[in-house]
Amino acid sequence: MKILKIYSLLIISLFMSRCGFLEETSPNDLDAATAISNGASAQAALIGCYSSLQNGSSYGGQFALIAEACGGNAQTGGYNYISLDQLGAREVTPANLLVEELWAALYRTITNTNRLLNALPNINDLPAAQKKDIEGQARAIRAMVHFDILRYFGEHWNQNSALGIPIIQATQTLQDAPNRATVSANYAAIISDLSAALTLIDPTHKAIQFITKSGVNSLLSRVYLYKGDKVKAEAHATEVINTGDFALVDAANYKTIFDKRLTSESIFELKFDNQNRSAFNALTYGRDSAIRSEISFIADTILNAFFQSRAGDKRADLLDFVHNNTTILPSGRTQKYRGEEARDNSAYMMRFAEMYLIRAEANGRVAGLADLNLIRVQRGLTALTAADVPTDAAYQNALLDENQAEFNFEGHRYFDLARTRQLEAVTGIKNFRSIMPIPGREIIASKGAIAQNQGY
Amino acid sequence: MLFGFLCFSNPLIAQEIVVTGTVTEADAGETLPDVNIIVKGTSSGVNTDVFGKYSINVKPNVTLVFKYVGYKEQEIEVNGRELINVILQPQATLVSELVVVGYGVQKKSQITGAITSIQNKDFKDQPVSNLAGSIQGRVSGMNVTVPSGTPGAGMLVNVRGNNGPLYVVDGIPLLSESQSALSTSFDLQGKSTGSGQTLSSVSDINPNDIESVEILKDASAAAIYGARAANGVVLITTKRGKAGKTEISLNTYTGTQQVGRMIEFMSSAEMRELVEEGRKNDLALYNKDRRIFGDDFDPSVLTEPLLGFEVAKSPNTDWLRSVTRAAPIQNTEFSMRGGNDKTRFFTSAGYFSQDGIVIENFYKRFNYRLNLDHNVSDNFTIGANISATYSKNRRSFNDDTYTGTITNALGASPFMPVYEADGSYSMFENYESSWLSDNPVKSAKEIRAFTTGNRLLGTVYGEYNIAKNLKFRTSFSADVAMSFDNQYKSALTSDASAVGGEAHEAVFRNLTWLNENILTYNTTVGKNSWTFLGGVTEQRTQIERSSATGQGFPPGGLERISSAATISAATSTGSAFSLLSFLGRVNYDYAGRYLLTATLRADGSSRFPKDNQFGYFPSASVAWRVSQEPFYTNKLFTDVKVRASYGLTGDQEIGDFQNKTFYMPSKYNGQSGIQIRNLSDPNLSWQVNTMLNLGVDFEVKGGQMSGSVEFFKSNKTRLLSENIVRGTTGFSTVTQNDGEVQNIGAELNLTTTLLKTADWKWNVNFNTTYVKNEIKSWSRDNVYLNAFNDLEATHILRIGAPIGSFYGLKYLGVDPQTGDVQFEDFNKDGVIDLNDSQIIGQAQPNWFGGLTNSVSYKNFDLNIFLRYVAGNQVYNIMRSTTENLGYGNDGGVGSIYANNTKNVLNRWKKPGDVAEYGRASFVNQNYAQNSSQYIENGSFLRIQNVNLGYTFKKLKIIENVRLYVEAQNLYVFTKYKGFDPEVSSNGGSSDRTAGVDFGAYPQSRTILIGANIKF
Repeated sequence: MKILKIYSLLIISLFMSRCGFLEETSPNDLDAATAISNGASAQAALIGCYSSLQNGSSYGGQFALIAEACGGNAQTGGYNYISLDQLGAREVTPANLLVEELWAALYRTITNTNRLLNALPNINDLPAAQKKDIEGQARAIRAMVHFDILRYFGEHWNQNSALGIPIIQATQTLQDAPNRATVSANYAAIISDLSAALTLIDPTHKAIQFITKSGVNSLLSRVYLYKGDKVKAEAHATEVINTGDFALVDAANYKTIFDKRLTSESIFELKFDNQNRSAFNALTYGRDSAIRSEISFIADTILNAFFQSRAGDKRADLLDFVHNNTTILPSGRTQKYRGEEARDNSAYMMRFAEMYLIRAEANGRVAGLADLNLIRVQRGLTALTAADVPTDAAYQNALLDENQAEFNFEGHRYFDLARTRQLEAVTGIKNFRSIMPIPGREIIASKGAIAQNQGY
Repeated sequence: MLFGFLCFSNPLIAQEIVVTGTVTEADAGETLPDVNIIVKGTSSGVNTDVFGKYSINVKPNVTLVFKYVGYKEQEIEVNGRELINVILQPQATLVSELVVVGYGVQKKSQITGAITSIQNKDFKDQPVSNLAGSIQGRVSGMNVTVPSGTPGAGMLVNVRGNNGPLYVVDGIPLLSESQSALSTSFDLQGKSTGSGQTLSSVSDINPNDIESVEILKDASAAAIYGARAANGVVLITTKRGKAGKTEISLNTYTGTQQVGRMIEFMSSAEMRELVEEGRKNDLALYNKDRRIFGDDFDPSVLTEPLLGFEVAKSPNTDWLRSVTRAAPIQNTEFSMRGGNDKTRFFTSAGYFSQDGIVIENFYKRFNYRLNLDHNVSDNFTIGANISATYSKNRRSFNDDTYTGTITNALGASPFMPVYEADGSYSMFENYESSWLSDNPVKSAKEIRAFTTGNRLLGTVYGEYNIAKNLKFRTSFSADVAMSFDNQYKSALTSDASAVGGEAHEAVFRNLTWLNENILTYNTTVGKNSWTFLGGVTEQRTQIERSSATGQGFPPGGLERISSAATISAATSTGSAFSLLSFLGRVNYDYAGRYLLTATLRADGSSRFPKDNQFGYFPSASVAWRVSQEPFYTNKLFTDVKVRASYGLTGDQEIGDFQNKTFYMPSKYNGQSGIQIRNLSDPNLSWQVNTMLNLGVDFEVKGGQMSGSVEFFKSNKTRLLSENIVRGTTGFSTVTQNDGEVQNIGAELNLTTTLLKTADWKWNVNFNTTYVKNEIKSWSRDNVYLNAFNDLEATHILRIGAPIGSFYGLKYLGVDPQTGDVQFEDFNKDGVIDLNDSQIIGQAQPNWFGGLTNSVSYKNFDLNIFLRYVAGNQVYNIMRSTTENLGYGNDGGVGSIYANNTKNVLNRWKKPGDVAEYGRASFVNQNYAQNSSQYIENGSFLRIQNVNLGYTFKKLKIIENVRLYVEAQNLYVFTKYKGFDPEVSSNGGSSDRTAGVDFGAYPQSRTILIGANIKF
């Protein structure tokens, strides 16, 4: 028995000495509690915010392309995949997986910005200017993503609507239960972040892969246009135009925006590379002989007809209805995202042409026509005269057309039609589909607290 | 009188004789060492030596008693004979059969939990690479499913409704995950869509090296493995050396495999007729009501000539037969087993080779084992086990997914040839079969995906008898697994044509080590006997993975990453977990009548947050051997034991590093950064299963029949699951403890000898199991799940329904007037859409079991094994493509989305037709993918194995030779329309999304001949 005791003591003491045994460290992870603890890690977390924008389910591909399908420029191909088919048929349901992924990916970026902003006040080894710059960029990203969630899921055209989106500005726990805020509260939060970013971001930073001061101004210009504040929309657009940092390329070089990238026409462009690829090429082109069923987003014949009615428009060159495999129709494909080997196509977050078109819209039919014509002429078209746009409605249509010609397959038209309440009038798609349904999973997870959009 | 007696007896004492002989056992005729031989009525006796020989000095008229554990005692009157060879009959009774339990061995009569034990003879020589495959159907309560026919593929093992038991090989818990660092399934964007086929970690163990397999099914038996025993435990014990003559055996078989059940597709003429009929039907509808087709519909696709559909010129390609073949399978192994009273050994080497029934696939395995035991002294034994395996596998690319070789061959156009006239692969783009992602033969040949693996399992142990009845055992074990994946897609494939060829390579390395220290103490006081067991174990697993992807390859066979023009991706990562456990057990036995077992295990796991690392798993069980009571007189039931047990087991299978919220590496614009990876629930802790088991073991007429009946109720609580959470947290799912699932069931096991004469022997074994599964609670009800991430919800988690419930529209058949397929308007809103979805079936069977008949006549023996499963359904979603009634996926004229099966010949053609299939249509889709149209009965009865052998005895140096012919998966009784009702295209490792057939690798029928030679 004595031996037994000795052995037991030996074994117990052996294992008691191994208290740390159950602590494992992952070689590929950092504990979130301490991950952002100094200037260098704050800078790394900011890079992470940009990186999370690159997700193929959001800005790395589907953010723009889902909008294209829902706004009428794109049709869907691919295998018989119900969620994709729904986009092509413009019959999205709350169960749509692509929309669900979009929602989650956008809020993921917001989480990254919130955690960075939460950690920032305790970081003391950064020069004040640099700390402000990080804060400014993080808040600008947070505002941009909130605004894009609002554009996709909230009644962004109606300041009195209760159906805004949940605004998330603090690190979330599993117990947090944020509800949908009102649309006006959404705009207030977005504008507050952007206004702060305007003063925080270092104005000497000009790299357009990141959000610069002009990037914030251009976002503000867009947000005010959606909000209906034309004066402020005009003011921020003008501020960007007057910086002199950006220039429109000539008609012959329009395609360089897409094959050279980071041109003078971009205000904010998400840059990809061969080892960090975007989904655009795979979703819209694939390979030369690809048939429709291999490609998720093909060009709708409507877009072809539209360009055929605009003789001289050099932007038509980036739509191909001729050289593709015609076995299974329609065979149209955008040429904006070519480069099958590297698949490093950019996401065009903010382009300079939009500033002129916003200003043209904000200034109205008489004062704005010059800006609209500036773009038209630059793209190989003739200038419109006042007689060509005799009414406000005609002018509005000319602007919508210009946006369609300029930004097709970049994810603009759906939101333009929604904010002008013209989705049904122009495309025949029911107006309630101007926004997506809230994903069914979100409603289940919130036990019904998050309300569904009207009509779904 | 007294003198007389003495006088009579004296000469006899003087006439003591020497009796010698050999003791063998009846089954295989092997000699038995250490058989105890005593003179009846005395305590004097001898033991047989290592060769089973004995020699004893006795009086010529005494009776000798031969005793050996596990065999019937035999009494033999000497009657003056000097040579007595004895054959001992095995005692297949409760009384003395030995059963391996966790950290020990017990007599079957003393077992208080639910344990099934099966021996090597029950599963040897089957043409399967995986142990789980060879015990399929032979264990009540355990349902083994083969989700795919891929050589070397993993199996799905379900114990009493719970998937994925813990495997323990000679005391070493095996890794549970697939031994490969790469996924084999990619979508068109090159994103991984899952691991496709999994490679099983037990497939590295040669089934014929295994002596016995014990399945611990209830909490009493399994709780000693606490933390990882929630889904049952499979104890695998390999063969060990025996003192005595060295046994040498050679086992070999060779055979051929074919697709078990084929799916027949339409000929070119039939397909053209279907498309034409569909266009005609659509045109008639269009003329009646244009609104159905939408505003911008151009009816010319219904009237223009069908181009490229010329039946006369068509090659009428039978694609399934183009990608499948008759494939050889063979296995050869050599083993030796022997030793003396100090040292014993078992060693074996084997080679298994299986070609896939899909072209180009194969699986090869070499394995080697050495098990050694040595007595250093009477009190001290040491030993070691080493097993090494090398395997090489050419995998079927995208196996079990919708872009795989088989999936593509299902539905490929009969108008498309395999090769063009110039010998090049035909391009599917030119043949209107838009279902394809590539020419199936081309993707089978031009995508070369190999996995090679090395595995080393080793243990050293020492066992020391510290004092009488007190034993200490310590062991150190290591499980080293390495695999190398190498996948090359040539520039001819549509996956890599744009980039000039693409290769993925990956290295996976795993090291698991384990140290176990166990102290055992026995004591007997009067009729009370006690066994105490206590122990401490620690285990650590460390995994390293790295991979690289390159594109742009030169011609001429340079296919490794170094030849790539560009490295497009590279990763390197790792993970680890550790477990620290304390365990204890008490067995109490009163007079062999009242039995009690209590266990407790405390497990600490690094996978949980710091405050929740330890879980405590107790169990208790009692048994009463009624037949041992003095008052028991029943002559029919000669042995009866009643058992009851209750206890807790746990589960920690959530993957490493969910215990905290983590940041992961991330990059942008050539700069490195960090972003959030997960959200951790600080309350995350062990899943706990409670299980109640009631059982009766019985024996009829001293062993003519024996069996057991079990009832169980298990509740899995605090389930570890990927719970859906608000997307506003930044995550759509979080690993949490949530929900409770209940399995209630019963098992029956019967073994009987129907016939036993000198020449004839007929044994029957039958087992059957009933399990009913139900979700009792979940914080979120009606959670939709997708078997594939681009299918609509195929499954639902609903409180009150079983796990793995299928979800979709309810199909009401074909309208005889219009030929429309009809669905139930479940929500009564007047519109049929996905909102009308409801539960339309379940993936888990309620009933399963097996029946073995073993008949022998003289030297012939015949074994027929049947297996059945009932009460489940299969979601054969592949049919929404291959039975789409000619639908062209609105691709315009000349589009065949996919060829249809011959079943569709039985379709609606004119009003009044009562047909199984609806009206053909080209544009106006007349089917619904997620509907009970494609739900099929999953029940089947399978002739799993038939084996007929003949044994020759004593041929010169050969002790005996058995020659046999065998058929595996000879026939399946089923009406299932796919390859095989036993299927789970996504590997099925999650029971929540199991049971979907999306073009899985077909199952094979194998015919072989073999020989077992013993020297």
